[in-house]
Amino acid sequence: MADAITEQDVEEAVSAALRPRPAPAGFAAIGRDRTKPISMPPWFIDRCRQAYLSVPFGDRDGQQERVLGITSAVHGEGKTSIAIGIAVAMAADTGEPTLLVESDFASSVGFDQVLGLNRAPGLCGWLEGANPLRLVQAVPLENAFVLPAGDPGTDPTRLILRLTNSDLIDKFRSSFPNIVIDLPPMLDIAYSSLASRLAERILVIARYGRTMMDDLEKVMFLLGRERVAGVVLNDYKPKTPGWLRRLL
Amino acid sequence: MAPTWTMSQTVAVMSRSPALAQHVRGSLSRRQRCRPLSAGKLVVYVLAREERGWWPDVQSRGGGTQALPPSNVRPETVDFRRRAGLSHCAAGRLTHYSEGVSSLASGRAASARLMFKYLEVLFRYWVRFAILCVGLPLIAGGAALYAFQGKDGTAQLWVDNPSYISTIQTAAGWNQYLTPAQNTVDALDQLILTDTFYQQLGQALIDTGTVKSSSENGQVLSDVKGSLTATASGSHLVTLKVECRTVPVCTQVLTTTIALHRAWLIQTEKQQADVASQLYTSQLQQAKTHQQATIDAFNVYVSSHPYPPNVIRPTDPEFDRLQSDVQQAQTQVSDLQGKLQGIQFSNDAAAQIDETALRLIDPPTTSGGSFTSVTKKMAAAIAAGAAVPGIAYLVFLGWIDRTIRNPKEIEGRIGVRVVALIGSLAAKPS
Repeated sequence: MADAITEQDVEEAVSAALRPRPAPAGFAAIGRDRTKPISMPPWFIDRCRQAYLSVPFGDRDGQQERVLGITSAVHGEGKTSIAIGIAVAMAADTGEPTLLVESDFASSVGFDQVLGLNRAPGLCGWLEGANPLRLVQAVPLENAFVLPAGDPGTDPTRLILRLTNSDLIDKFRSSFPNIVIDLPPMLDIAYSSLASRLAERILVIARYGRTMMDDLEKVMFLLGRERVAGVVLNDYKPKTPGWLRRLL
Repeated sequence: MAPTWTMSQTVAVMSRSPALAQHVRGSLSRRQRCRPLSAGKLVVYVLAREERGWWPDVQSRGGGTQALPPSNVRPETVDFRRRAGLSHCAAGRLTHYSEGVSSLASGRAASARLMFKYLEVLFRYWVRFAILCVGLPLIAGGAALYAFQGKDGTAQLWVDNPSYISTIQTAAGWNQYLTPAQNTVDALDQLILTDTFYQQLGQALIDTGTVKSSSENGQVLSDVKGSLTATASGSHLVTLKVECRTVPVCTQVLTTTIALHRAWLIQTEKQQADVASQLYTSQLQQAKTHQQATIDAFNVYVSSHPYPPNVIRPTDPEFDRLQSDVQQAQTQVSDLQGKLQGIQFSNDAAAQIDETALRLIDPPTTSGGSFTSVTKKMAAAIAAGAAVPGIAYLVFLGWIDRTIRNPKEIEGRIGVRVVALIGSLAAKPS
């Protein structure tokens, strides 16, 4: 339900995530909702760091607004992995609360599988008013949180429309200086253009030897080049020797 | 004078004025900050992103560092200039630009990307190309070497100086300072340079049935032209060598070459003998006429000054002179008759003389199984031909591969920077 989205819901969820109440004396602490430990190679995190540091983020009140969307042309190009890597790098580098939002409702490999979460409840359920907002701590980082997509049901477009019409991301901005949004792929999903409105700056993921150049051009057309902060070439494994590449 | 517009197209201001460039730079907000694209006298700044949809037009023009004609400068650009307070830059050029187009303006960059693409395909499927472009040509070339092994034909001639025959001092056209072998090699070298020689050789090959068709004949003659050599192996020994495709051809070529050389020698000597014979016949005729005149003069003198026989004629200078003239004329006639006989003998016996002077010591023999130059050329041609499928396959794979493999291609075609290259999670990147 649209009217279910209230500022209070968001604040409660954020507060629960960022400021968990200590267990009363004599009671065992209730564990926060956590992902399984994220295990990514340091070099991968470093490349993700390189990607987000190249993005010219905008300013608001003299402070950088780091809201970054991650998308690709089609599924299977490494968008989700890189989104997680960028969120981890941002959280580790800034030490500030970082939120990773899953808005790709149709992904076959969602956060639930990658991070070992229960699929529901999630963002979709919250948008429907079926459950409270669920923020999951991304272990081992204390300041990184995940907003899983949940179960989109049969009409994800309606949910995306509701999400884009809401000011959820704006509300998160006050608590999470770093927000990474895993957007749906632009050419696979009909509502991807709608979802891309969630982020001002977008990184497009292309996969070496898989993404078609024509597809990438279409993505640029759909997003508008002014919003694309850059392209990340994933799974880059050139066969040409390095010295020859340098010559060219 | 900070502009307040929202740019939706890529605009570049090109100016030679540093002050103008500084003004443009200072008038932009952080998001719209200008970025120099090239150094040098011409300052190019990208002020904002390009308009959607307009990009392909720019790209198709070849874009880059060349300004569009004024007719193509869109109204919004002019409007931008007015609003940016850059009206005074009329002396400079104001035009649309694209970041991407600018970065790949030159044809060199495009060709480098194309080369990268094909190199990538080549190294990606290196096993296939090793087989197709290296293995297959090697096999084909090796097979060609084996199948078209050439034959080396050799013949040796013994050349004598025919001066032992008194009438002939030296052979026709010989240099007296060279050995007989050297003279023969010189003659042979010149002979095998003539078209007539190859016409006669080709005719001989066809007449003897060594070659079956004119095309084969042409191939054989082409091979022979590059491989037939004559060398002096001593003062009198001449070695003839030729590389052919078959034994009969080698044998026939050498046999015919020797025969043609001998025929040429005989013909030359006969022609020279004919000329000499005509000369001596003419001289003999004159000498005989002169002889008859002297005899007649002597007889007239004796008739007019009779003297009894058995009486010694007293000293008579005129009588002695006439008698001497007759004797000289007779001697001259006799000398010329001798020379003429010698020439005629030489002419008649030229064939026998040359047969003796130019003896075939080792008749044409052929050794097979060698990689002659003809064989090597054929093997190289076949190997090159065998590499064609591999190259065609490379071109085909490169043509059908429309995936992204080169970050520079993204920057060039899309006009957006590649901010990171991430290797495969399955393997540690280099």
